[in-house]
Amino acid sequence: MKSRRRDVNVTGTILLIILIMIIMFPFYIMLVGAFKPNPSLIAFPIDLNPFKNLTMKNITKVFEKSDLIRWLVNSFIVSIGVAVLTVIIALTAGYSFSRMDFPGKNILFALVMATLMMPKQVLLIPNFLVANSLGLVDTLIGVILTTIAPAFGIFLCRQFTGSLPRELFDAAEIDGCGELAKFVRIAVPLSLPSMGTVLIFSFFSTFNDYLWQLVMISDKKNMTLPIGVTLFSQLNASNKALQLAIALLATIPLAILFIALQKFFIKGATAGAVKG
Amino acid sequence: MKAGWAYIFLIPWLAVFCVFYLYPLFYGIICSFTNSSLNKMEWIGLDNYKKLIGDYAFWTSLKSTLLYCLICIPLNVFLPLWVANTLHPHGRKMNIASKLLIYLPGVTCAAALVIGWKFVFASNTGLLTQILSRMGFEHISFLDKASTAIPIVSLMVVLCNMGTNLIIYCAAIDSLPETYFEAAEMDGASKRDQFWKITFPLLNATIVYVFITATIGALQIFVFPQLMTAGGPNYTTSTLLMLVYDKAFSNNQFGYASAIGVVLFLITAAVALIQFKVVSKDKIEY
Repeated sequence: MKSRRRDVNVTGTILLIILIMIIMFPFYIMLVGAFKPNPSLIAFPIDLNPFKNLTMKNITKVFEKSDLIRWLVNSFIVSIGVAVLTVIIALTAGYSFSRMDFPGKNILFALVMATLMMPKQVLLIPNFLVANSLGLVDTLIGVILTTIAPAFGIFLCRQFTGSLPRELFDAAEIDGCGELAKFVRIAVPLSLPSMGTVLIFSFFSTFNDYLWQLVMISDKKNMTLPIGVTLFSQLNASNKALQLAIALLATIPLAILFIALQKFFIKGATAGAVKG
Repeated sequence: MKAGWAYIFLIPWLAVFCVFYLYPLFYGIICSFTNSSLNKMEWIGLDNYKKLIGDYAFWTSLKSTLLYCLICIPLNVFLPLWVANTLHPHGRKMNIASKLLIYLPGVTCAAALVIGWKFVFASNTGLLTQILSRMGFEHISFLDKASTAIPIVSLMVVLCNMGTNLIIYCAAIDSLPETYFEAAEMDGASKRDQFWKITFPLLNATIVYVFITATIGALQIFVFPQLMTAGGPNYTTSTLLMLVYDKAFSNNQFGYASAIGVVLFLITAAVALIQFKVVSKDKIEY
């Protein structure tokens, strides 16, 4: 089917491979540098040979000197919390917008779209002050509640639940299902794929969010991975090997998760943009 | 009856929206007319905005925010388009591998990526500095001056965010009808002509969408410049969002930071509104 356009652009492909190599370069540095003794990373010339002079010392030292596991656990708690709450909010609101009529619907949906266009960072200070007055600062539950940004999910769920066949809902109504039963018994089970997409996207974006967690968290026991890694690399500014080791360890869990869930990314990214 | 249920379903969203979006929005505006710090709050009228007009840090950060935008937006829009177009004739394996590798920085902890990039660009011991000085160039501190730091940080931002846009473009190109290209081929159109005369105009709507998200994203750049240069020297690589953070959390000037935040909000809102208007006006349909 595609055969007509199969002529590959050779120059373009070479440039593309160079681009991918540039993108991969920091990962290569992490992967090799994490296993090098520090002196060979500040020496002249820098030794990045992946086959010689390797050591496990950096890795074991990172686990000794940092709370890496705790940061990871905190990041998972926060990200899962945000993702689950986002899915609940997105599906209920999306369902309401797509399958029900009520006064003020257009205005409310315009507000959803407005929050999609205006990311939460522009409200950094007032959001922090509100969180502070509610006693949410420096607690994991506070980070969860204040991170939720369901606009994209609402948009997605509205489109998806809107595309479900009407007959299903009519039939359920004839069988005596109320509004709640229709939602729980029909909309929820049929929307599992888009719920998965929303779940995964909000999980990853929360996991890698930096600014809001930086503002909210100061207690060491509440630190998440991005904050902990930054702190650790500042405390060990002169030890490049140790920094690269923690960078590598911070990258691996999400990289594995990403590769396992790749299909969702390819579907989810296009959900908002390409529609019929 | 049904309308009642509609509102019940909206309650979770409305609660989050009101408490963590709408209320802070108004609170932020009010705050910008006060000299708030964490424990006190006093009305000072327009003083924060007057101070803003004469503030070197504000104008410098505004200028570098625009510089970041100027570099990042076109690259964010057109680099993944070029990649998607180059990838398209390749087989499935090459497509999936490239997409995954290009997306990977987007799901990587930015703090970790920065450690890797700093290894290359750090002032004295950085890899690139070493290589260049070995080749006989004079010592360059890439991150210590805005003229090199802003392009480098922008490039990091672009490379980190390319995955999403690439996937969007790939899906859009895949959905174009093959017959158009077959007809063009028969008429003897070159690959270049096929791209500019068929692919590019047909992707118009997708490009506009990417452009809008890229613009809004570029106005919010924070983590990479914060961790690479911390805004220095003397705010020349700082963005407005970084200045908001700096004023509030390093100097405890929450009122003043709110005023800068209001300006950033207005700029973002204006840009979003203009783009929205433009998009809804010239919708090209094929």
